[in-house]
Amino acid sequence: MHSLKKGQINFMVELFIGSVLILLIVASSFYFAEKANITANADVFAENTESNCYITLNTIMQSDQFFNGKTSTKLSEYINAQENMETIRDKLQIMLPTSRFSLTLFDNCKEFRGTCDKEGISKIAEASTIRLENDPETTTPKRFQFSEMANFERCNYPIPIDCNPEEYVEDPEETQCKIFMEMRLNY
Amino acid sequence: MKSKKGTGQAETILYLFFAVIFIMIGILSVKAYLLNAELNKDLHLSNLDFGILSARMLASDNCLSIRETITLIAGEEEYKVNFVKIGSVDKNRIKNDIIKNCLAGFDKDTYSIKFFELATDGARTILENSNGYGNVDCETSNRKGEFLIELNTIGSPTKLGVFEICIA
Repeated sequence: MHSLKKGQINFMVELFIGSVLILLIVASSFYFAEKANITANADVFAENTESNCYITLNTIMQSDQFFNGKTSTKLSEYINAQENMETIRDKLQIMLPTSRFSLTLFDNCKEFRGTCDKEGISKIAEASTIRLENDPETTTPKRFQFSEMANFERCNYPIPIDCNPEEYVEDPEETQCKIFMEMRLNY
Repeated sequence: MKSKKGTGQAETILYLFFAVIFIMIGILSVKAYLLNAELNKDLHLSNLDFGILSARMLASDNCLSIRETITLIAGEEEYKVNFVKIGSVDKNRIKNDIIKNCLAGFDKDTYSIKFFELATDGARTILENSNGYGNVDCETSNRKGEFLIELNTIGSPTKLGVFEICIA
């Protein structure tokens, strides 16, 4: 057996200690990697198609059971708007007793697919479901109360009205020759 | 020369030994890291089922809607275009066999559907199946809706009706 020289022994020892140190570093990284937990929570909500609101509002407007004649024709007359809205509300409340809704008539609509008029400047008339406070049959449950946090569908329906075409050409922003019925339906 | 060759071999074996261990530990570390990544999904898909089922019933001429046709004239050519008035239902098509065909593929335990005819005073008369279709209890359902619809019968004035749907 040939004995190793001093330098060779030192080299071997250094190599061994170095390897052990690297092993320790890697082993500790392995240990701490195990401790690292990545947890992600994803709430996936399907988009609301708003079909309930659109179909109901369309049927109201096409129906002749709310007034003598089509609802949209009656509203386009532009008179007694508040009274007409309350008539629609009262009848619809009987037809759909478990639905909570609000109806608003606007002169103008800036965003047809969203909120017609956030500030309510062009609001003509409004009517919402009425519930009696102490009647369990009619009291509005919390989840049906109107608030920005409540789940709801919103839709609009344009109603053609008589208007001066000259005025429309001169000021198309202000006069759209239509009024708009907005429905909000809580669910 | 002989001793140098022996030391070189020992070094090579040592290097190889630790190289294999390092690679193994490295692979295991990556594997362990990946195994600890979790994704918790909370799916709220009742809106999706609600939209699909209501559209299937009220917006399809394969189910309850009436197919209508308009003729478009472009010069000498005529084009016939079919369309469906969504929410306008043929009352004669509200039959068990038609509705069951329409609901084929949907799990009965995920929905409940009912059709009503409305009298002028708002009184409801349930149409066809008195228990409705599907097994969901509407009181505890996640998504519930009432659609005001038109009920059409050939030769009679259009009446109003209600389509009630609940999704588990």
